[in-house]
This record gives sequence, C-alpha cells and structure tokens, in this order.
Amino acid sequence: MTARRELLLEARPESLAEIREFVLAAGQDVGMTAEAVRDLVLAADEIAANIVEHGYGSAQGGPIRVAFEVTGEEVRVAIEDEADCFDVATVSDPDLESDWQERQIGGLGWFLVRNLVDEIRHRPRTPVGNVYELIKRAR
Amino acid sequence: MDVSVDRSRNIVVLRVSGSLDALTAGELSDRFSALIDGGEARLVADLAGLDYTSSAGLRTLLGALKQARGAGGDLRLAAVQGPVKKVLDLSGFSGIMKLFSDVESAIDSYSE
Repeated sequence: MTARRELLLEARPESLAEIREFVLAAGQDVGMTAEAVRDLVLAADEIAANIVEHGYGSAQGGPIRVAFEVTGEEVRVAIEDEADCFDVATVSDPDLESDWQERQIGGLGWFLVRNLVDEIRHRPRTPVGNVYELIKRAR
Repeated sequence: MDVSVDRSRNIVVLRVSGSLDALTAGELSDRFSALIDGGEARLVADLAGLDYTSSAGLRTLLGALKQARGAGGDLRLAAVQGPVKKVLDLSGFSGIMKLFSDVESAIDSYSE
C-alpha cells in the first residue's frame, strides 16, 4: 500500500517546527517505531534547515515541499526546493576524534542525516532546485 | 524553547526546555554569551526539559563550551534526555563535554 501526503511552505526558520510535526505525525500514523520516526524527523529538519540557511541565499525565502510516502517497508521523505543546485557529496564529515579546541562547528548537520537514515538521494529538480530523498527501511 | 537562569553556589544553572533548532538556538547562544562575557563562565545546562535538538543546538553548545573553557570555566550538562543524548553520542559531543545525571552532581563537580 502506498500512502502519500505533502506539505508546502516557505523556507523560513519558523517553518522547521511545522515540518517536524508533519513528519512526526505521518511516521506515527504508519506505525514507525518511536526511535525511527525521531531519526526521520531530525534528518528532515537538517535538510530543511540547510535550505533555509543556505538554499535561497540573500533572497527572502522560497518554497519547500515535503512529501511523505510509504511503499512496502520503505518510508520516503522527499524535500524539494527551488534554490541553486547543492551537491551533497561536497560536504565532508566532521572530525569526531578531535578535542574540544579543535572541533569544528560545521558539517554536523549532514553527518547526522547520513547516520540517521538508511539512504539519502539527491537529484536536481527541473527546471530549478533540488530534490532530497530520505529513505528509512523496516519501520 | 525556554531558558531560565538561576545561580547556586556561584555556578550558573540554565534550565533549557522545549526544542533547539535553527530558529531557537540563537537565543540560547546569546544567553550563554551574555553570561560568559559578564564574567560568569562556570555553567551548568539543565536539559531535563529539552526534548529535541538538531545540529543547530549542537553548534550552540559547542560554541558556549569553547567560550566558557576559554574564559577559565566550563559548560557541563545535566539530565540529558534520551533523544538528545543520542545526538550528543552520535556527534561525539559526549566525549568532549561532561555530562551528569542531575543538576546537583553537575554543580558538585565544580568543587572537585
């Protein structure tokens, strides 16, 4: 059975809580475990926050579309924007072994996303923007 | 996200509750900075009421940690809840910060 629901909103910091609530409710409704849905909520927040902070640059926001879909044992959250294309592969992991003085502030968001979901897919969106897909298997 | 500040035995205790994300983390950063800039760098964050943090919250904690230790103090965490603990563990923060099960233990640690 496939169930799909969508949320469309502006890329503003105030939208992040709404995105979290959307993914939380959807995940609970399809019977994900509490931990699995929390992981997915955080991963979605990180992607959306990146769009809010970097995606639209100096422009005053732009659209974010969040879609939640289940196919079999695969839960998929797709997050779309209309911002400049962002290559996820260019973000390197933070150094987890460094001590507090050397620890860098950056890179944490993507690191969390990679470690909270089973798969991340990214593709450019036509005519402009990005589609990020977060995949979590076996709820 | 709510922050309230108390003082106990010359240690500043910040009670942080709600959710830390890119919208709310900045306010907490400002509260930490104001305290440390004001000469109060021995801090305990009571996180019993914090049910969620994203990397924005982690950046706030790391920034405050560096600033507090740079000023001769520290930021120690108390009563970290499960979901937040998971993120601290995953990011390696629980290895560079001191965590305590309750506020009193965290305050006591400054006397050791």
